[in-house]
Parts: sequence; structure tokens; C-alpha cells
Amino acid sequence: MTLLTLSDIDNKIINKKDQQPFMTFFCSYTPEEIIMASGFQPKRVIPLGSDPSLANSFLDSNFCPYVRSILTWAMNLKQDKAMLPTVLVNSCDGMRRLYDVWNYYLKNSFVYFLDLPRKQEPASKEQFKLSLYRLKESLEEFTGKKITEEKLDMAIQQNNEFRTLLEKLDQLRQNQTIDLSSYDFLKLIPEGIQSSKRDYNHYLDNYIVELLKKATERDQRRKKAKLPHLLLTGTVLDNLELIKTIEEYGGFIDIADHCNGWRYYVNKIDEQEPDKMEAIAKFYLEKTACPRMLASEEREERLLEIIRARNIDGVIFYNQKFCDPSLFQIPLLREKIKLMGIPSLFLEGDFSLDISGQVKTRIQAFLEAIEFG
Amino acid sequence: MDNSNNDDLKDKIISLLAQYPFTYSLFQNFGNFYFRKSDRSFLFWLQFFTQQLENAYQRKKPVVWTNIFTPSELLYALDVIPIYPEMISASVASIGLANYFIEKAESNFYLPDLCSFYRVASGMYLRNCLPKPDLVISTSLLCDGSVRFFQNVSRYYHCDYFLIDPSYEENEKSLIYLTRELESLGKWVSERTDREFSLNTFRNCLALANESRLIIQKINQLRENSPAPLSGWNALAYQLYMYFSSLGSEAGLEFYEILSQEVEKHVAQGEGVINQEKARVLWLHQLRPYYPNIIWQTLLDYDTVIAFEEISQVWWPEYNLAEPFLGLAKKILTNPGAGPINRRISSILNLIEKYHIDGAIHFNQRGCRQSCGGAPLIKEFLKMKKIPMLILDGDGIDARNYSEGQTRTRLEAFLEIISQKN
Ligand code: SF4
Ligand code: SF4
Repeated sequence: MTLLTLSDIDNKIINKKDQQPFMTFFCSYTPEEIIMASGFQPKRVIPLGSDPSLANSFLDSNFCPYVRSILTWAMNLKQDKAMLPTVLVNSCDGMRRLYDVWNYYLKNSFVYFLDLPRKQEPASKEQFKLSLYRLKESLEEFTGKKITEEKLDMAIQQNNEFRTLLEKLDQLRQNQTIDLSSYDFLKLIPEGIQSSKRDYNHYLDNYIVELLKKATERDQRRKKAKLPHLLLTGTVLDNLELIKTIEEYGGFIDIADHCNGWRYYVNKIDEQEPDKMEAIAKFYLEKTACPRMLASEEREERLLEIIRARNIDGVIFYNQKFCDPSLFQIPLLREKIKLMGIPSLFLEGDFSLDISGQVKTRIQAFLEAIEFG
Repeated sequence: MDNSNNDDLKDKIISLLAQYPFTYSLFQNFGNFYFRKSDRSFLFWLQFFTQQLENAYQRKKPVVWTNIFTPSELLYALDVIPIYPEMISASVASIGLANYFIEKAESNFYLPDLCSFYRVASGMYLRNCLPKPDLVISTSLLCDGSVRFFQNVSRYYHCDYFLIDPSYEENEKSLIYLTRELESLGKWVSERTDREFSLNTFRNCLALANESRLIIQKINQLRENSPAPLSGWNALAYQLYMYFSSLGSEAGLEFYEILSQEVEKHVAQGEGVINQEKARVLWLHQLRPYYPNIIWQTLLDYDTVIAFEEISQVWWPEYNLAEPFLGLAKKILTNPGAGPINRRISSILNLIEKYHIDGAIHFNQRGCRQSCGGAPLIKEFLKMKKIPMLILDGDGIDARNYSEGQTRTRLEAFLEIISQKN
């Protein structure tokens, strides 16, 4: 069984007759389950190579390349009259300003801006729940269809299964029980998000069986070879070629602490909670926090535990340029990592299609320093 | 002695001087003499500022670090000494010390893409040049930095942090949510400072703030006059400091009484910053460069005045003393810079009319996403009203991001246009 590529997914799964129309989103705090229950297929867009500088007349060039790339991408769609319904989240100053511009220049059939508290207290959760209800109502109005508890329940179960399968697969990968690169693993996340979950979960199930069968003696030998173990941390991973580059240079990525990496699947929604909106609100607010949340501090502590427990040899801070939430997490975390005697490398993403020669050299030098250090 | 030993010694002396309460009285006495010809309002600020730091170092009361959009009314009601790292950074830049702190911050990975106000403030605490906080309180207004910077401060000093996190939307539910949050803040502080939170004191502070608010409104009304009776350049400096840090205190009220007398006198005597104004500018964003630069002089050369600044408007209603927390919640939630950009745009359009504005300058603080991100849309709206707007790239504090040549060229081209309008 070969791995499906993104275009395969597009052709084989998405275009199935029962495939739901897409609703695009950009932030991992978007409640996919509500979108699914409304009859849409969520699709997280991470537009590579869409020349962020084209957004400069509408947004300051001081913005992270994610925000600017999204704008360029959306403007192209607008030109092609191919805008899709969208949910944006008040994740950061960048997204807030992106919504302003979107609202003014792009107005599509459906665009919803979801507020997101930074705290996890009960009152914040109630406030977030209200915002989720407003999103639900807007979707119901847009589609003319009710979002029932049953539909939400189904979406929760499917997404939980998806996240559980990803976690299982990643554990097998981390322990080197199966031969799967981090690059091939991380590709599954966007593929799965935008696919019919029932089909994709089934596919993942088979895939795990297949990989376990293929676990040969060669893999066992490889397991013994000590590769530099790495932890990556940051907001969004734009280009998975970066992961590929690190692996090609001999790094082994234990955890990619990104919103489209480890943080995506590590938590699950409480299926026992009878109030489904409550369960969703709690999940998103309390999941392993991204750097913009107050609870980011707890995640940073957890990362330190992981570094100890897994004998991590090096940490790579992989940030999007101009991303304040993640820039502010560096000083204290880096200091603590340094005190543990672990080297770290700071890299910045720019949403381009290629990994520059300079970044490659820095990765190579970092890995060499770890090996000889 | 090698250079690094020299540097260590210098760092120690600076940090010791900063921590020595007497330094601030000395500084104040020196200032009173050196600036003896300045306006009384300026000297009042100098005393207020130095006294606050001195009191904080003497630990006369609990010290709370906070940001500019946390209503000072509540802090005075809590009987704590508020310290404003962002505004102290501006003062530090004006005496030429910003780089010293920026270097320290950057070597500790507060990278150059972060807003320089936070880089200087980070350098200051890393160099032990600010009074240690007992507690940290900030709002998430108006930027992401105001959350993560203050959270980092609380972690650095191992003290508790309270985030006031208003919703994006302004509606009844979000107002109630914020009101409850502020109520819990009162309790939170008193639990940590062994101080009773007194509603009576709170009401008194709000009453003082209401009085100051009325005077600010009066000053703002006087500023509609031409020639402009108050220098916008000062309004963006020490006056702004008082605007954010003194409301709710006796000193705040006294300051505004003095300032209003000064403005009234100018209006009565028909005196202005420039007597023959060719053009009137609205300044957008809550700051300007605080190191030596050519902007103000260039404006004067073109007989152009900053007639008003968007930050100086009184956007919040008078506090109803019967519902004190609700009043503060309204102030936070209705901030024109919060929420969708339309809110900021309509407030700017109002000011343009009210202050007979010929053109607007948006000072694009490098690293300030929330404000600069809105500038192109604001420009688009002003264009529809035929009001030219200059987006002036720069940095309020980090002079390395300031180019005199570029600033001059862009500013002069803009001033040529607006001065021809009249
Ligand atoms: S990378 Fe950072 S700045 Fe960019 S959208 Fe994400 S959180 Fe916002
Ligand atoms: S200038 Fe902008 S980024 Fe800097 S502290 Fe002020 S609001 Fe925040």
C-alpha cells in the first residue's frame, strides 16, 4: 500500500460523490467538529509559495508570512471567483487585521470570525462557548440545516479516532517500531483533515497494520543506530520540506510541537460529556496550548519534561517571522534548555516552496555540533 | 582590567543607581533646575514620574507592573504603585539609554522583530534597572506583546500574573464577562497583598477620574481652536504618560487642572504652537519617536501642527459610581483600537472633522502589528474623504530603525501636498 499524496486525496477521496463541500480555516483553534456537523468538510489552508509580498498593499510587511500568504492566496481565489466559505479565528494581531482586510476586500459567501479567550478559567470557557454557539447559528443560517447533537457527536467521534490513530502511529514512529519518517507522518495531518474522516480513519488503520508488517530486521538494526534526537517547537509548520531536510541530514524528530504537528492530535474531546458544545469548548480551550494562550507556560514545562524523558539532544525553534506569540516564548524556554545543557537552533519560516541553502547549512552545522558535542 | 570587567562594573553602577531611591529625588531636583523654564505641567509630570519610581524602590506599597490599557483607576483603588514598563522605555529612549537595554534584551533572545518598547523594558529588568514587581497585571489590549511580555515578567520575578482579557466583540454578554473579570481582579489583588479592597475607595478614585475626564474633554475642546494651543508633540510624551497612569489619583486631577490652565491661557491670548498655521495634522498611533529626530522640526518648518492625536480622545463614558466595575469594563471594551478596524476608522473620521484636519500621519512603529496592520485600510477610507495620509515607517525607541534621510523625504513630500490645500 502506498501513501496517498495530497493530489491523490484530492482526486480519490475528496471528489467522491458523498464528499462534502469545503470550508477553509487557518487556525488549529477552529472547531472542526462544528464545521463537519454543518455538512462541510474542513480544510486547513497553509498556502506555500503564494508570494506574501503581494499582500503588502493591504497589510503591513511587518506581518507573519502565514497571514500575508493567506491573503494573497485568497485574493487569487477571489479573482478566479473560487472563494470558499471560511472561518477565521482571533488568534493573534495578524489574524485580527487579516479579518479586517478580508471583510473589506474579499467578502465571500460566508466568513466568520471566531473570538478566542486566552485564559482557561470557567468564565472564559463559558464566553468561548457563547462564541461557538454564534458560529453554530451562523452556519445553520447559511446552510438552512440544523446542527444536531447527533451530528456533533459523530464529528467528535470521528475526529477523536483520527487523533488517536495519529497518536498511535506517531508513537510507533518515535519508538522506531515502524519505519516511518516524520515527514511522511506529518503529511497525514492535513490530508486527513480535509478528507472524509470515515474513509481516512479506515485508511490510517490499514496503513498502521501495513507498516507493522513491514517492520523488518533492518528496521531493528536502524533503531539501534543513535541519531540526534530533536524537538521542534513553534506555531505553524509551513513547509514540510524542512522536516525532510532535517531527516536527510540525519536528525530524528521526536516531537514537532506545532499546531499542525504534535499539538493537533495529543488531546481528545471528552465523548462522555452529554453537552456536546460544552465538550468542544472545553477541548479547544484546554488542549495543549499554542504560544498565544496563557497556558503556553504549562506546555513549555511539559516540553522540558519530554526533553528529559526522551533524552532529546537538540531543540529547534521554528518560528514564522514576525510572530510575536512564539517570539516571546523563546527567551525563557531557551534559557531553561540551555541550563539543561541542550543546544538549540533558531530558524524562521517564510512560506516559500524551497528551503534555502542557508537554512540547510545551519541545520547541517547544528546536527554536526550535536554529534561531536 | 579588560573591557568585559569594565562593562561589568558599568552595569553594576547603573543598576545600583537605578535601584537607589535617592537617585530619583536627585534627578527630580536636577530636572526642576534644568527645566525651570518649562511648562508647569511638564515639571509636575517629572515629579510624579520620579516619585512613583522612588516610592516603588522604597517599597512603600505593593508594586504592580502593568500596561497602558489597564485602567489606572483600579490600581489606585487597590492602593498599589503602578509601574509602566512601556512608558518608562520611552523615557529611557529620550535620555539616550535605549540601546544599552536593547543590547541586553537581544542577547537574551528578545529578537529585533519584537516591538522595541518591550525590548527596552526586557533589557531593563534583565539589567536589574526597574523596581521588582509584587504582582503583574495587564490587559490583552492592544497587542499580543502585552500578554506575553507581562507573562514573561511574572515568570522572571516568580510573581503572580493577572490577565484582563476582553472579548473581541462588544456586546452585553462580553461586557458582563469583563465586569466579572475586573471584580475578581479586585479580590485577587487583595488576597495577595493583605489589603482590603474597599468599594468606597474605588468610588472615590472613579470620582477623581470623572473629574479628570471632564477637564481632558475641556482641553480637547480647546484644542479645536486654531492656532492649536497645545503641542501634539508634548501630548505624545509626558502628557500621554499622565493620561495612562494618573487617572483615578489626586495627582492626576491636579495635573489636568494645571494643563488646562496652560491651554486656556494660550487660547485667551490667541497664542498657538504656530501662529500662522498652514496645515493641521492628526497623529495616528499612540506614540512617536522619543530619541532625537527631525519630525517635529520639519512640521514646524512647513508651518504644520499636530492639532490632535487619536490616542488623546476621551472615548469612554463618565463612570456611574453605583456600578464601578461596569464603568471600567466599558472603558476597556469600547477602546477604539480594540475589535474590528471599523471602530478605529470611524473614530478617526470624527476627529478629522472636529479638529479641521488637513492630513493624517500614521507612525508605523516597527514591530507593532496591531496598529500598522490597520494603516492601509485607514488610508483607503481617508482617501475617500480626500484626506491625504502618510504612513511613516519608524521606531519609537530603537533609533537603529530610523533613517533621517528617508523620513525627511517622505515627510516633506507629504507636507508639500497638505500645505497646498489651504
Ligand atoms: S504564525 Fe504567529 S503571527 Fe502568524 S498567524 Fe500564527 S500565531 Fe499569528
Ligand atoms: S507599540 Fe504596538 S506592539 Fe508596541 S507595545 Fe504598543 S501596541 Fe504593543
